[in-house]
Amino acid sequence: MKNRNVKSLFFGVLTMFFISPNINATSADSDFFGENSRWSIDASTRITRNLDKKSNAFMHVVGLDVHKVFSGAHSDIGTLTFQPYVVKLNNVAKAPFIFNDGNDTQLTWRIANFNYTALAQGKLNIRMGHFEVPFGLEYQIDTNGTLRQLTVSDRGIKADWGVSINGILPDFEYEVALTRGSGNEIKSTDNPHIFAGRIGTPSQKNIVTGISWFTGDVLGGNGVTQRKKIGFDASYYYYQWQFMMEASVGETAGNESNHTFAEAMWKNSRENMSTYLQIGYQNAEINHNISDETTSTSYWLAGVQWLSGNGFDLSAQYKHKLKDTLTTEIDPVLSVQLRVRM
Amino acid sequence: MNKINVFMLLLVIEILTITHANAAFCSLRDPISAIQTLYKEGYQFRSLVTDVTEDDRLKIKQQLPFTILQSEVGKHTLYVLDKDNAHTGFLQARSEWAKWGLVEIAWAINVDRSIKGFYYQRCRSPQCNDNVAKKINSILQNKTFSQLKVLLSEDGKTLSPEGKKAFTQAPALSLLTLRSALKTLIITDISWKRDIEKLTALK
Repeated sequence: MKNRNVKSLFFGVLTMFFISPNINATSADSDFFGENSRWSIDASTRITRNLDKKSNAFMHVVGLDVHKVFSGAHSDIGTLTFQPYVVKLNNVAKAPFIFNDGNDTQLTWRIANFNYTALAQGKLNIRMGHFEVPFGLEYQIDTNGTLRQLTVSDRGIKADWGVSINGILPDFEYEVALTRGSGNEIKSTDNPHIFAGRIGTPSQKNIVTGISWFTGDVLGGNGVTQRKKIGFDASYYYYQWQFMMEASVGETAGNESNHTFAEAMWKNSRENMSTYLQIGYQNAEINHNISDETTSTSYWLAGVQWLSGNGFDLSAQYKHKLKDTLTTEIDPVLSVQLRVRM
Repeated sequence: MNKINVFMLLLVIEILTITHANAAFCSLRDPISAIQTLYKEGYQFRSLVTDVTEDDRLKIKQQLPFTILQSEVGKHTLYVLDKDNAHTGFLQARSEWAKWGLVEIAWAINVDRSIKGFYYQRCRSPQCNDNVAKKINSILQNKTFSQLKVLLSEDGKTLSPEGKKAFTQAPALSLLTLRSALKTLIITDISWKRDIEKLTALK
């Protein structure tokens, strides 16, 4: 999409948003998308301060969140989730490759898929569209649009276009996906592709474990990167505490790598305030063609999120290195985000 | 940049005037495990999404000494269960606040609006184990709204003497579950009244 068109769309959506202050999923036009539907407008603004480089980066986002269940006379047919978002960057030093530069505006897709559920009452569904690549903790926890992220940076892709089979059985849950490997847009440059999946114990229990795999060529700013991973994740919920960990081993561009992540989270009893502490560790070969020498990096991250009763949330987090290298710098970064859903 | 700043200012003003919002929809999940546990094999389900309104909230208050929370006003789903293409029951998930956070309970409801059973979909206390759930289930099963109401004190804050006699194990969790059962049954009849009337007419 041309930059000017995207900007027009961005300001158009925002204008509609502000001149219609009382429209939302429960107002008189709540059936705008037909029966069994929900919809909401989601907007946020984020500032990220690099404390070493003393620079500020901004990201402004506005989008639509639609959820609709299609039903037949005796059973549901499928669920449509549709989340187009317009993202405006401002002064971002390392912009994701879908943006032309650090001041660009683009239409992005968070989740946009149809999950066909009429085959076996939730035991075997077929999903088509843009969805989260199933792997590890990210698959279980909704981190779309939040400051809090888990291990997605380890794989270089969060959501992708493709097809999956998924389902819930009494003793386990699963999703197995074949996707394009290009992320936000469907692109065939260098033939990217991903085959990934996760099989885990029931996610509603207080102890949840899963195994995942991820193999394929992931498209980035410099072409495709070959990635292979196998991972294990575990979560434990105890009253107001949540403990999670993920460990994975594999290869990135032929270099062996392993990654470990752990998080402890506490929520107040009304669950409108949460604080979390994350620790990440990565060890990888520098260049397997030259030697088997490895290098390791690690960080800690602390965050807080406050959810109001009227649909907005304020969150902040701070990331700091434990160990970095000349080639992989981890700058101290403070981020603050204000988000509203209506 | 000026345009952006003006819009961001408008965004802040908008935030301060909002009266209602919803959770992210990509996190919505059908209660598949609950349906599999409570209805076993051979059932089909379909969704009926409706608006639980402020008016519904007031109507619940007329029949119970408590009502749903302000945050529960909004879109909710009632699942209609069919077997051999015939309507055999409902399932609805509702949330209750415990001192350690949210407890989400999926309720299976018979066509006559008695309780078929329940399933703890989310309960972060080790007390919500299978043994306790089985015991509470055995007391609530096949009871109607009026039969369940007898187990609750008049102010709705404690178990009645009959309730204390029935729930000998985990009384606090039993009270929370009982309140959820009453709330679920009454909200089903109030908020899905038209849908249930249509289902009854089809029979």
